[in-house]
Amino acid sequence: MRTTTVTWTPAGGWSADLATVETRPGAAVALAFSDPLVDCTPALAELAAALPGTEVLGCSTAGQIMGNRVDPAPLVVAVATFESARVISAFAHVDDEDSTPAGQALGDEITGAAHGQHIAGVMVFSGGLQVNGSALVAGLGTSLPEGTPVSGGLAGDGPRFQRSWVHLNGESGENCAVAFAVIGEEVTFRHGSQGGWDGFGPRRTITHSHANVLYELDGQPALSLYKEYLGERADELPLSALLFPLTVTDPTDGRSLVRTVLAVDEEHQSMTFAGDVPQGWSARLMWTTTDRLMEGATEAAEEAAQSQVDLAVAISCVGRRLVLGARTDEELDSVVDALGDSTAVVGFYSYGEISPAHGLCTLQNQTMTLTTISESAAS
Amino acid sequence: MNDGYHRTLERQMARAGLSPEDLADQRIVDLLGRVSSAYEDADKQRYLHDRAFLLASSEMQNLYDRLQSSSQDEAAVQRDRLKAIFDTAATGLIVLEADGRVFDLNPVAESALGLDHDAMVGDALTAVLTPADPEDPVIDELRTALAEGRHWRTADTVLMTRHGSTLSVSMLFRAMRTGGGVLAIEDITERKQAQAELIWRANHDSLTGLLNRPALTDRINRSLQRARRYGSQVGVFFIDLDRFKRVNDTLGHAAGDTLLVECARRISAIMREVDTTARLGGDEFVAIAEHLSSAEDAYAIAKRIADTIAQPFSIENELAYVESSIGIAMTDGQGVEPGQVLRDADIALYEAKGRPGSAVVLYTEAMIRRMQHGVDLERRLRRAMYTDELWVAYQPIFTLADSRIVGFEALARWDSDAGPVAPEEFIAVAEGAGLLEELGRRLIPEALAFQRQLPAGVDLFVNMSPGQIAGEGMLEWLEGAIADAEADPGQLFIEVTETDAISDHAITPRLRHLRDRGIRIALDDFGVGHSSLSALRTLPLDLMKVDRSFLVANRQDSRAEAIARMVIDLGRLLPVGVIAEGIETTEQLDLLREIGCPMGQGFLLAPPAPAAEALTLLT
Repeated sequence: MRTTTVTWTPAGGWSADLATVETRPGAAVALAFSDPLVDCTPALAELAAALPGTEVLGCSTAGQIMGNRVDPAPLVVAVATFESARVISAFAHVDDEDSTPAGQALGDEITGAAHGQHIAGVMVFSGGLQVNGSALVAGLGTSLPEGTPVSGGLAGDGPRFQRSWVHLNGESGENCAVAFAVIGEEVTFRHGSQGGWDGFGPRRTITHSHANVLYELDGQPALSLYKEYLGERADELPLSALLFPLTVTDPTDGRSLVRTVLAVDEEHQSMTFAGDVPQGWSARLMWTTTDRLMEGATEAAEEAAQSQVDLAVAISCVGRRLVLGARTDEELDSVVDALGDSTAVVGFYSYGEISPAHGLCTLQNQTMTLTTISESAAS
Repeated sequence: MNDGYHRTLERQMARAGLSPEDLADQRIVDLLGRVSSAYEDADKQRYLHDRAFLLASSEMQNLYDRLQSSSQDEAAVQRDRLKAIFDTAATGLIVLEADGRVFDLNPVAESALGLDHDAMVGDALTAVLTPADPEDPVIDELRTALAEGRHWRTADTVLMTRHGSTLSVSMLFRAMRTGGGVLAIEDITERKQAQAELIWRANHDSLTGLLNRPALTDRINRSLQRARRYGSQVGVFFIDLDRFKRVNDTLGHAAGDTLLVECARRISAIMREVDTTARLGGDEFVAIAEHLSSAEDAYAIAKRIADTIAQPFSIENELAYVESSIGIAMTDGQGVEPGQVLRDADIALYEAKGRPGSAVVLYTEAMIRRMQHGVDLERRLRRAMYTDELWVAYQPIFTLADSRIVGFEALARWDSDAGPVAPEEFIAVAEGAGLLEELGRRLIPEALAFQRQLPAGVDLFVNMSPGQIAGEGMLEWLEGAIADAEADPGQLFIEVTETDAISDHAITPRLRHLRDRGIRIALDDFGVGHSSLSALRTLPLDLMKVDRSFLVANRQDSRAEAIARMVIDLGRLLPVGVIAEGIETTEQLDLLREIGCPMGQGFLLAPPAPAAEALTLLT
């Protein structure tokens, strides 16, 4: 497996000559994550043309990761070419009401194209604002062979929460999801995902919610509670709500998930989260410190570490970046330190992370989620 | 960075003698920019953390306050509820401290024990509960339960109230884990009274309040035990009222009940306190007298009972008269059962009933033999009904003036396989066994056949008891029998014994009925019964047969002679025929002739004889 990383800026063009990038048709993927404020369409078209037979996909971000830093370049790309494995991709439109069918469609397409061969891993990227990540992942789970690891993330729109999109081979859309799968016995996907957030204050009951829209906690408007806690930073909503994610707990089995805010609706006094906030579950505000986030990133990298990592895809939550501020790069330093300097790292700050790291494949928020890919030498 | 560095960084730079303008190296400028941003980020983070900390603390405090106030409210509600339950409980409740002092008591406990709530709180247990019996261990038991923290109950004990009255209670103590406990006191006085009443009812006759039959057996048993212990005698008196049925029939059952109650009172008044009086049902009473020294004692008591019963009873403005028959069994208690003693007294009573007037009979061994004999006789008599062992004898009746036969009295005879049985004996058995009517149906046709052979002017006298005459269908049967025998009703006398029963209003119309058929009526045994003269007034009579007891034994008995003369005169005046019965001596016969008795019969004149023999007397 060969991995090449390049960046693109409108002013400077490609950081390396695309012609030098060697790929093998049907066995390569180019992960391209872009700044939503910069039109990268020509660059992506150029990339696709330069790498025929390569699946080019990715999404808009809240920060592009390349190596151990948030890269100022509006487009970061990692091209991975497998020796023996092959790469397939899928594209699906997401229904406004229910994201599950889109997940199922992606899974069906991949499963069909795999022709019964071993699917080493799947990565999925979806629009980050209108898509219910939980439902999307659930749909994928129903149509992929059991045990297939799925990771990925929700596209970002910087700190704005207005537009986000995904793209595959020149086709892009907001309410869409794209995925690629690596088919082959020699390829290994490993995953790590950690947050570094801690619950504080009283545990509340979700008394009114619908799917991923939260209305009331303990019979009081959730939005009011957030405004109270944010104080002067309430002006920065919905972004500042990322500073107090919610941990929601299923009362039947005690399983907890972290949920982060995507949007607020003043009219309905509601808040839209990146995943479901089921009524009847308990919810508790979380906070963190810079140090706790760094620890989390290190732990995630350690979980995903392999003896040899050919490519690491780092997807970290926009909420982390908001907390880390100027020290955001330090989280990426932690990852690179844990994986080794030679590891190619690409990724983005997202509106939600998908990882099977802790057994069940779920949508997470406020985590550093790592997917490491390696290919052993063909026998 | 255009807006200047973070204040802290600017101060640090000033202290170090640096101003941003002094910095030419772009890398240092970048560094300072990053440091400044990190400061600002930290400020923002701290702002939120401080705020969140204060808000969360405040929220937690509010939650804590709410929880506490709601638990206080809850506790207040619980207290109110418990207080309401405590105050309205139907059971007396006393809350005790671990050291046995009274913490609280409810209104029921207050009023039941006659306590004052405020004065009692804080007092010792012993000041509140006083057992009526100083030996009663309940207080000690309760104190032990209190000390050991365990539950305790006592089913039944009696406490003294502050007012000095007693209170039957059951008590239940429930220890509390925190020490002390609650003592529940239930007033069971009414329940005890109800139980006592139930027991009383089970052992007493509801009408008279005397002991009943089940209780009597127990009393006799105890009397026998005492007799054995003290070597004394016990007398058991079986009392049966005579003519009580008539009171019931004439004055009604309510009057009958009144009489029984009064009778019970009178018998009880005779008996000593230690003695026992019981009613077995109907008009049967039993009295037990202990510590008798002789049969005379027993007779004396029986006599007093009989006398007191014979006194008139004033019921609903009328006077009622009854008499009694009394059977006595005496025993020293050795080797006898209560049932046996009662049976002995009953046998003696049976004997007494067979005697006229208020008879008192003391049980003897012979009686039971007689009784057994009677049972045997009855069995044989029933069998004899279907054999020719029973037959009719005829005793002629003469005119005393000229010794002419004017009639024959038909008399039942029984030649059993064990020899002849005296008529008095088997007639009595037949009557007792209800066989009299059947005996009549068996023998009367034979007598009617005899009558058909009699010449005109010679009549047949047939005995019938009032019971037979009253028997259903008997008269119709008799008429049928007369017709079958083709006998002349005008030659037939029915002799009715003068007993209590003849006074029954039902008899008179029946006798009239017979008379309407041409049959004549004779009153038998005149002078023995109770209502001779009134019977003469009301009954449709043609003749009276004077009992042998009126026959004068000798001429020196002038008083008897006077009575005899009067009876003869009475017959003449009524007018009805008169026959003197049982003439056995010439002296009697001479006197009867002298005072003008028209007819007579007796062994002196002619004994009863079989039909064929009797008929020869007419030739």
